[in-house]
Amino acid sequence: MELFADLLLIAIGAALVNNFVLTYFVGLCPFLGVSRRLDTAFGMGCAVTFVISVAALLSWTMTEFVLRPGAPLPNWVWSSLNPAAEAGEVDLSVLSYIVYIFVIASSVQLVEMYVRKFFPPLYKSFGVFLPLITTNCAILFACLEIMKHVVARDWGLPESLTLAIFGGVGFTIAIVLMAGIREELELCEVPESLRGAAITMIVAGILALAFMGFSGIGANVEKLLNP
Amino acid sequence: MPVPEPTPLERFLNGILPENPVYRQLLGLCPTLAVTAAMKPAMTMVGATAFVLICANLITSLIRHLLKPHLRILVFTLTIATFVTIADRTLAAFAYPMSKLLGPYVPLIIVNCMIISRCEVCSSKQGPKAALADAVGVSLGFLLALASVATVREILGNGSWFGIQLVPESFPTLILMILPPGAFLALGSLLGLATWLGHRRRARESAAEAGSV
Amino acid sequence: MSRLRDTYLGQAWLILLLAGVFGALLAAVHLKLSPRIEDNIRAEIMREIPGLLLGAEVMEGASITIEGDLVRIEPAAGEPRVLTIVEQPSEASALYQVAEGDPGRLLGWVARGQDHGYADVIELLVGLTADTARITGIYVLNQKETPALGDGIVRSGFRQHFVGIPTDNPLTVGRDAAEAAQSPYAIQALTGATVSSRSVCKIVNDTVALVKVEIAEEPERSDARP
Repeated sequence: MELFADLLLIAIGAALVNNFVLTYFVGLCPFLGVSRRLDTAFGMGCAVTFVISVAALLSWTMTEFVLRPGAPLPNWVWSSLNPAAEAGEVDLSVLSYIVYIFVIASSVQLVEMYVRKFFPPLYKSFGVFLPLITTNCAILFACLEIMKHVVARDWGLPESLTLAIFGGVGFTIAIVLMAGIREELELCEVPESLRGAAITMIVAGILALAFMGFSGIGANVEKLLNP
Repeated sequence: MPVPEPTPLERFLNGILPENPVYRQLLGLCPTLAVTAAMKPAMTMVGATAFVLICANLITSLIRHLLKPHLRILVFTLTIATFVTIADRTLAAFAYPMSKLLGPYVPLIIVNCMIISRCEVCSSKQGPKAALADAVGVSLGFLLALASVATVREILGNGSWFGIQLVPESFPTLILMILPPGAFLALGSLLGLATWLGHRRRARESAAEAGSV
Repeated sequence: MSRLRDTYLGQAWLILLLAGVFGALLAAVHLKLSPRIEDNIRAEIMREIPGLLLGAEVMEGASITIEGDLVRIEPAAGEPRVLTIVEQPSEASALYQVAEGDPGRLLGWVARGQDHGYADVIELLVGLTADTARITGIYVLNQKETPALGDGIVRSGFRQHFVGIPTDNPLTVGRDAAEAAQSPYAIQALTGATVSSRSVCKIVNDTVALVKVEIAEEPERSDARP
C-alpha cells in the first residue's frame, strides 16, 4: 500500500505538478517543432513516452548495477583482481553521462526497429521524428533524475519506471494541449512579429501558469496518503 | 557553382547576431529558460556551454575526415558528453556554490541542440580555425541571448541585477518572472521583439534600395 | 539487415575508440578532482557547524581556519575558539559531535538530515545542545525550492524561529505569528511557502528524534574526546 502511495505521488508529480516541459523546460525542441497539428503531436508524445520508458529501464539497470558508488558489478570485478581493495570503493559515476547517451541512442534504435516491424503505417507517419528523440533533453533528464535517486538509495525499479512513464504522459499532455491551441491560433490574427515561436512561447507561459495550479493537488494527495 | 564556405571571420560574426542561436535559430531554449532567473547562474551557464562548445568543435573538426554518415550524431554527442562531465566536475571542484545552483542543468548541455547543430553544420566540414571562430561567435550570441532574458527576468522579478539590489526591498516585484511561466513569457516577448526589429531593419534596407534605384 | 550491420558495425570502431579515449580522460579528471570536490562538501559543513552552536553573533566577521577535525575561529570581538568536530556513525545522513578546547568539553551535536521539500530535496544541518534538550539552530545545505518564495528558508529570519526550541515534543508549523505564539513548539511558516516550511519542520523533527535516540543509547560517546 505504501509503495502504491509513493508511486501515485511520483506519477502525479511527474505528469502534472512538475511537468517536464512546463516546469523543467526539457523537451522543448519537439514541443515547439511538432505541436502544429494534433495528430503528429499525439504521435510524438507516444513515441517519446515509449522511448523514455525503455531508456529508463536500461539506465536504471546500468546505474544500479554498474555506475553508482558501491555498485556490485565493478566492485566484484575489482575485488577479484585486487584482494586488498576496500569494499565498495569503485565509483564509476563519472562515466554516467556517456553511458546514458549510449543507452538513449540504443533505446531509440530499439524502438525504431520495433515500430518499423510491427506498426509500419505508424512508422511512416512519424519515423522521421524518432532519430530526433535522441537529442530530446526529456529523456536524458529522466535518466538523470533516476540516477539521483538511485545514488541516494531511495528509489527502486518501480519508482524509476513510474517517473519515466508518467513524465512521458505529462509531455504528451502538454504537447497535445499546445497543438490544440495552435490549431485554433491559426484562425486568429496574430501580430506579425509574434507569429511562430514567439506566440508559442507566450501560450506555453500561460499553460505553465495553469499547470502551477496542480501543485496544490500534489501536496494534498500526499497529505491524504500519509496522514 | 558551389557556394564558398564561410571564412573563420564570417563564422565568428554570424554567430553573434545574424544567426543568433536562440533568437534566430531557436536552439538551446532549455537553458535559456531554466537558468535565466538571475544573471549570475545565466553567465555561469554561458561559460560552461562555451567551454563545451569550443572543445567539441575543435575535436570534431580534427576528426572530421574519420566521420561516417550514419553514426556522426552519436560521435558528436559522445564528445559533448565527455566535456560536459569535465565542466561539471571542474565547477564542483572550483565553484562549489554555483555548481549546486546549476546542478541539474549542466548535464543538459549535452543535449543542447545548439552544440550539436554547430558540430553538424560547421566543424564537421571545416578546419579547426573556422570551427574555433564559429564556437566563439556562437557563444557570444548565446551570451547576448541569455543576458537579455536574464536581465528582464531578474529586474522585473527580483529588483536586482547580478545580485545587486536596484530597487528597495519593499518595492513590489513581479515574482512570476522568476517562475517557469515567467520564463516562457519573457522569452516569447523578447523573441517577438527580435523578430520585429529584424523586420524593421529589412523594411528600411529594402526602402533604401528602392529609393536608390 | 546485413547491409544495416555493415554500415553500423563498420563505423562502430570510431565510436568504440572514442569511448575508450574519453573514458580514460574522464577517469583521470575524476581521480584528480574528486578529492577537491569532497573537500568542498566537507568544508562547507565544517564552516557552518560553529555558527550553529556558538551563535551567529560570534561568527559575525570571524575568520575561520579548518585543520582536519579542528576548526579555529577568531571572532571580530572576543577570545579565539577552537572546536573539534568528529563525525559519528549514525542512521541520519550524518551526525557530528562538537567539542571545544583541550581537553575537550562537549559543546553540542550537529545532525544532517534530508527529505523532499516542495520542489526537490532539502538538506539541513540541525544543531543540538550537549544534552540534546534544545535546538540551537538550523542551516540549509541544499535546496531547490521556488525562488523568492520557498527559498526564503535559507534566510536567517526563518531559521531564527528554530533557535532555542525544546526537543521533547515534535515541532509544528503555525500559519502566522499569532498561531506560532500559541505553542513553544510552533514555528512560523514562511509567507506563501507553507509546504517548504512544513518540509523543513518535518526534516528537523525526524532528524532530531533519530539522533536523540542514538545519542541516548551510546552514553560513552557523550564524553568528549581528549
